[in-house]
Amino acid sequence: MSETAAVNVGQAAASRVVKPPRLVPKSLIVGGAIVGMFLALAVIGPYITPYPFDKFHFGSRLAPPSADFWWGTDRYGRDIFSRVIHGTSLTVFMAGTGTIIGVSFGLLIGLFSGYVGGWIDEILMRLTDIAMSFPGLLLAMLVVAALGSNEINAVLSIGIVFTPKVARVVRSATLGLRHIQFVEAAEVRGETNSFIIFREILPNIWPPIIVETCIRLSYAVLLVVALSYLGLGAQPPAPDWGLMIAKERAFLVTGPWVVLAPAAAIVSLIIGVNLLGDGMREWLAARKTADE
Amino acid sequence: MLKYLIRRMVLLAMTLVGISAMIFLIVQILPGDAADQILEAWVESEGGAHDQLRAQLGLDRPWYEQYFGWLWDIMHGDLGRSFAMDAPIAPILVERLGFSLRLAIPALLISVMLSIVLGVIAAIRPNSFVDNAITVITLTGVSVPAFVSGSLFILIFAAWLQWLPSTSSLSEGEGFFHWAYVLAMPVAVLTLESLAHLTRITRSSMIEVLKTPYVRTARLKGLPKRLVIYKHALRNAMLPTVTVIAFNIGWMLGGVVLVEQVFSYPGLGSLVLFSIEQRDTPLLQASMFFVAAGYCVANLLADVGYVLLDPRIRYS
Repeated sequence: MSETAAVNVGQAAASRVVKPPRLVPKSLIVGGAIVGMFLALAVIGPYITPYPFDKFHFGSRLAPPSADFWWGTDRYGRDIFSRVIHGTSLTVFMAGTGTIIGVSFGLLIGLFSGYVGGWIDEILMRLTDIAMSFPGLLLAMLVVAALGSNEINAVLSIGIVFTPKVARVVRSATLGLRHIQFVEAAEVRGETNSFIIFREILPNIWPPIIVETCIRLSYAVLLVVALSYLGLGAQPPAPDWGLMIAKERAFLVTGPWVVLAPAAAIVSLIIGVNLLGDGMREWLAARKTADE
Repeated sequence: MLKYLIRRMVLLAMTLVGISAMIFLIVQILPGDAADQILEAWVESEGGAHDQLRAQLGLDRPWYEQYFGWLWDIMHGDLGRSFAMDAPIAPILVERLGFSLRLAIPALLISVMLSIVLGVIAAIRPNSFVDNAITVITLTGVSVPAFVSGSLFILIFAAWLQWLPSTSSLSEGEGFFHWAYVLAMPVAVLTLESLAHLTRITRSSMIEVLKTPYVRTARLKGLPKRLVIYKHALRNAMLPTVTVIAFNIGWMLGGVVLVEQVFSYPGLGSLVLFSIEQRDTPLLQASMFFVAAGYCVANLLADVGYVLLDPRIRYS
C-alpha cells in the first residue's frame, strides 16, 4: 500500500520533471498589456477625448497641464492630451498596416523562393540583397520622396523596406523543411506546389514568422514616427506623434509638455512592442524545447 | 582567401550596379522632372523654355541613355551637378561625409568600448540585478527614437542646465575642445542608439562562450577568472560583435538623418533630406548611391575582418 503510494508520488514527480508547466514569460504579459492598451485607445480613443484634436482654444495657448487641459496645450491652444490620444489610431494603424504589407509579401516571396529554388531563388535573393543595401530609413525616405509625402505612401514605404528582410527569414525557414520527409512525401503523392507551400510548409514555420513580425512591428513604429518627424509622413494638422514633436520643437523650452507628451507615447508604445517580441520569442523557444 | 576576396569584389560591383538601377528607377517615378522644378519659379515661362531646359539638362533623352550615361559618369567619378545648389555634387558629398563621420566615428568607438564592458559584466552574472539593470537600459535605448532622445537632451542640457549648445554648427580651425563641446550631445544620442544592440550581442555571445569546455579547462587549470574572461573568452565572444559593428555603420548612416535633423547639423543625412525637399534629383540620386555604397563596403570589410579574425572559417 505504502509502496504503491510511494511509486505514485515518484511517478508524479517524474512526470512533473519531464513536463514542466509552460510558464508564459512576464515580458509577454507586460508587453501584451501595453500593446493591448494602445490598441484599445486606437479604437475607442477618439470617442473619449475631452476635446476634438483640432479645436483651437486661443485663450489658453501653451497652457501648462491643468484640470482643463490635462497635458497642457500647444501654440494654438489645442489640447495635447486629446491630440496624443487621437494620434494613437494613426500611429498604430500606419505601423500595423506597413508591417502586414511587408510580412505578407515577404512571406510569399520567401516561401516561393525557398521552395522552388534554382535560378528563380538566385535572382530573387540578389534582388533582396540590393534592397537591403540601403539603411531602412533612407530607403523609406527615397520611396516617399518618389511617391509623395502622405500617410499612405509612408505605409507603402514601410512595406517595401520590410519585404526583403522578411523574405530572407522565411526563405531560410523554408529551406530547413525543403528536404524533410513529410514534404518529400507530399511531392511523391503528386501534390501541387501551392498545396505543399501553404499546407505542408507554412503551418510548420509559424514561430519564426511570428517572432519576425514582432521585430518588424517595433521597427515599423520607429519608421512611422521618424518619417512624420522628417515631414515625410502624415501632414499637418494630423495629430501624429512624430509630427507633433517636429512642429512644436520651437516651444520646447517655454512649454516642454508639447514635446514630452507625444515622446512618452512613442517610447511606451515601442517598449511595449519590444517586450511583446522578446516575450514571444522566449515563449516559443520554451514551447519548442518542451515539445522536443 | 584571394579567391574569396575576388569573388566578393565582383559581387560588390554587381550589387552596386543593381543599387544604381534601383535608385534610378525609384527617382524616375518622381512626379514632374527637374525642368518643371526649376521653371516653377518663372510662372509665365515661354513655350520653348521648358523644352530647351530639358534638352540642356539631357532630360529629353530616352531613359536607358540617361541611366547608362549616369552610370558611366559615376564610374568615372563624376556625380553630376546639383540643381538646387548649382554646384558639382562630388565636393559637397565629400564635405558632408566628413561632417557625418565626425559624429559617427566617436559614437561608434564609444559604443563599442562601452558595449564590451557592459556586455561582459552582464554575461558574468546572468539574471543578476546588474544584468537586469543593463537589460532595462539597453531595452530603453532601442525603444527611444533618436529625435526623441535628442529633444530630451536639448531640453535637459541646453535649456535647463545650459551646459551645451542646442544646435551643432562647426567651423574649421576651432580646437578639439570646442568640437567636443559642440558635438557632445549628438554623439551621445548616436551612442545610445547603437549601444543597445551591441551590448545585447556581446552579452549573449559571451554567455555562450563561457559555457564552452575550453573556458572551463582554463579555469580548472587555475588561471584567474579575470584573465580567462578578458583574454580567452572575450576574443571568441567578440566575433559576432564584429558583424554587428558593420551593421551599425550602415545603421548610423541612416540614423544620422534624425540626429542631424534634431541638432541642425550639416551632415550627409540632412543633405539627403534637403535634396528630397528641393526635388533635386541629381543630388538625391548621388547621395543615396553614396550612402548605399558605403553600407556595402562596410559589410564587405566586416565579412573580411570576420574571416581574418576567425581561422575556423574558410569560405569556398
